[in-house]
Amino acid sequence: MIEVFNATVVYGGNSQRLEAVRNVSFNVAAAEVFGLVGESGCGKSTLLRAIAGALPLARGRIALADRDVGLHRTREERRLVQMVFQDPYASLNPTHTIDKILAEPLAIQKIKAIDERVSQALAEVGLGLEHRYRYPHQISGGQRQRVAIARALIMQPGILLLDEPTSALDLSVQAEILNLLKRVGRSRTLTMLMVSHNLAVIAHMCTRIAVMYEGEIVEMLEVERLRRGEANHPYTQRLLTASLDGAAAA
Amino acid sequence: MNRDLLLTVEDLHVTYQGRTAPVSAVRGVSFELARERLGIVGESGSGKSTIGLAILRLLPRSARLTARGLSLHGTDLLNATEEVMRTVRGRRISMVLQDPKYSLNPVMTVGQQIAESYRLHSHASATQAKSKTLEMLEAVRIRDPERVYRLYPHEVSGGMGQRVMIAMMLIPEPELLIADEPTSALDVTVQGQLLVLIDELIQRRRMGLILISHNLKLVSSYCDRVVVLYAGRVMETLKASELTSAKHPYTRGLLACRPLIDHQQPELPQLVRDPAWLNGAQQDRQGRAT
Amino acid sequence: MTAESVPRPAPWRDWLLADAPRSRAQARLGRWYGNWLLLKRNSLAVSGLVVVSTLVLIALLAPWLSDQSPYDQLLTARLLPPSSDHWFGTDELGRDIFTRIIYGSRITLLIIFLVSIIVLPVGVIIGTAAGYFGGLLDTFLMRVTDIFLAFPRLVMALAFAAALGPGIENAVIAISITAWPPYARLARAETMTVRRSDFILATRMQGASALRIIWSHIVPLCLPSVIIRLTFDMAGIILIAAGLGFLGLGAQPPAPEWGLMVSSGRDYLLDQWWVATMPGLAIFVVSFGFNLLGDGLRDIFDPKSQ
Repeated sequence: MIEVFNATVVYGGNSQRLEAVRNVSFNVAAAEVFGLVGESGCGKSTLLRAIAGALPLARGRIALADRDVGLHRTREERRLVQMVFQDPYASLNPTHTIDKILAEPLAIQKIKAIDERVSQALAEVGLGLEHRYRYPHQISGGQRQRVAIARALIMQPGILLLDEPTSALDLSVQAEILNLLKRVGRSRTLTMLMVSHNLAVIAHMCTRIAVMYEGEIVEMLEVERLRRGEANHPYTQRLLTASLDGAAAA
Repeated sequence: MNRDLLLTVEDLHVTYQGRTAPVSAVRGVSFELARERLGIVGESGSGKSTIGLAILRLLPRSARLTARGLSLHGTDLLNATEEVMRTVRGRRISMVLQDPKYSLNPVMTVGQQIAESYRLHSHASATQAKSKTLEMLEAVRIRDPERVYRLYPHEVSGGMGQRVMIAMMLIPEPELLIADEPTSALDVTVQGQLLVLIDELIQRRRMGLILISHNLKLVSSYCDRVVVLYAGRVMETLKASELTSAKHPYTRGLLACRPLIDHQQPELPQLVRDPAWLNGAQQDRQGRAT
Repeated sequence: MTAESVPRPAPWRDWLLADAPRSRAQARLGRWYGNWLLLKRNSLAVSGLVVVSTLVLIALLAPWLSDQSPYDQLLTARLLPPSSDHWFGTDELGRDIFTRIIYGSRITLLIIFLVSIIVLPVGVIIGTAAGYFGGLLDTFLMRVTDIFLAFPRLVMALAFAAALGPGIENAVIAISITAWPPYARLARAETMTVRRSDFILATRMQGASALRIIWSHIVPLCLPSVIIRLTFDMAGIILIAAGLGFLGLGAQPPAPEWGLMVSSGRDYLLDQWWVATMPGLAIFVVSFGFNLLGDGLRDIFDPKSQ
């Protein structure tokens, strides 16, 4: 469903060229949940944004559902990939009501029965109808993240990109959001690509992970092997030890 | 109490002015601190950061603070004048915040900032302050203190910035360090090292530590006692070693809802909040006070 | 401002402040009401608002506030000092200054209104387009803006007014031409801060066109700061309009434009001080009112102060 081949993303001009992502390749099968893990600045979010169509590739190619995609995409290609962001405060327009946030994508894609679809979307993410005409500042961080998930799902995408969807949330809320994502992923047979610095969260959600370090994928492994502590690369091992320490449990 | 008490907080209340009605952030929190490490744990909105600011009397002007008692080793912090508070802040109680990016002055080198904070509280000369600063940078395990001394805040990494902050906060040799989410902005592989460092420095100087965090597990591994907060109230206070046998359903729920690497859970247990906690805890606290 | 009295529970108030509005309209009204409550708490804003709404009321009720005409001359009653018959005295042609100031408020309001509806759209469109698209378009638009910014405002307005010919419409055009560049700058800066926001990317991922993103996401977020800026600038605009009138390039006699009135009163400044002072005070009060309102609005809506 997702094919990334030799992808390189470059920031800056000639004088201050920074290869944020370097020659990264991986495939994600349909309905698979794949995780990209790494620490700040390793390029994982940059890669996700390139897949989302927000950043150009300097080299390599990205194919979604067997079609090469670039920066400029058709409306249909846009609809296929949706994203849930890290910061639930920045990902919703503060001047729009929840209703408007959910209705806008339908209007853009010229989908009928907006009213009904908005109610359905709210119900699917476990938000009561009383939230419909609220503004983002009137609801909690967890509820905002639910709205962001509803906004992504209302487009009926095949692929969901998750950019640290719970790292700004409380632990108890994180559990609720992760359960929700797992549930909708299964019920809609979504292909999901999740980025996180949190190994425990990635291990909980994914079946296979890629570990990124300084712009490159240093290791790819099954989550089962991770659980057994069978990581090969020294960086993966360091990450694993730090995460098991408890210090990183958030 | 026969322990050497450093800080007592008794029935602390903090109320903010809301848009339409006052909002209670802290509702009747009491705890005592000897020269030990106390963890304050809670989720967002539990009032944990407000407590730290209230101890230093650094709340915004719109906040109202009341308490039956708030004292630092015999100094009444509740009725202290602003002048007294200025000698308390930094000199006797220091605070390390979450993100060093916002706590350091961007137009001064980190060395100058540390030296300045030292000279503010002692009457050392510039050269004395510099050598003390280099010593302190070494104490927070910065490999090349001479070089780091001359760096500007934007030139240091998050972990290094937080080390610099700790050096700056500990150089006046305060009696108490309040660390509010000191590692939450840092990478996992750096978090552990930094907490070990704080721990060592605290122990060596026989200081008190209040570690404020949302992370129950982290707090319990670096503290002696843990206060669990929910909605501005103390749910329970327990020894860090007895965390796994916590009685309160909130504490237990917080522990259970974390995803684990070493075994698979099809669904994460979700925390169910009970409105009765707010009343029950109140009684519990009063019971302890008598 | 005195402290707010304890509000009695009123059903409409509960409806407006409802935590969970049941319709789009209720949500929107509730938001406005919330802003109104904030505004009410800010004494600066309230005093500014009082001045500005008084100005509007005076303009609307002019014929009822004075039974005299702003144009009727009475040469036997020239240059009379303020009295119970002529509150602000009379001018060199025997016209009642109070009446002329009242009718002059209409001209002031007209100028404010016309300048706003020209400057706001021009500034916002140029600024958001430059900020959102970036690249060559941005460079081009910003260089044009720079060129306009490089000239002193009053001198430029003078040149335009002189070229277009004297008259109130031309004065408005001249002021607008000199006033839009800072708005384009401001709108561009605001656009730059929001265009990389996650919600903009989310909207792009829905397949939204650039026009839609600018119109429904960026413009609403730029407007508060642009409007605040305009409120601040109003004082300057009124002064420039008065200045053009004073120099004979704005409104033409016998129009009761305040700047023009100050100008004609200049000759009598030493002996009949009220002729120039009264319209001068009017200009001062209105400018000050707009400044207060701008200050208050900034306190309320500036995201950085929240």
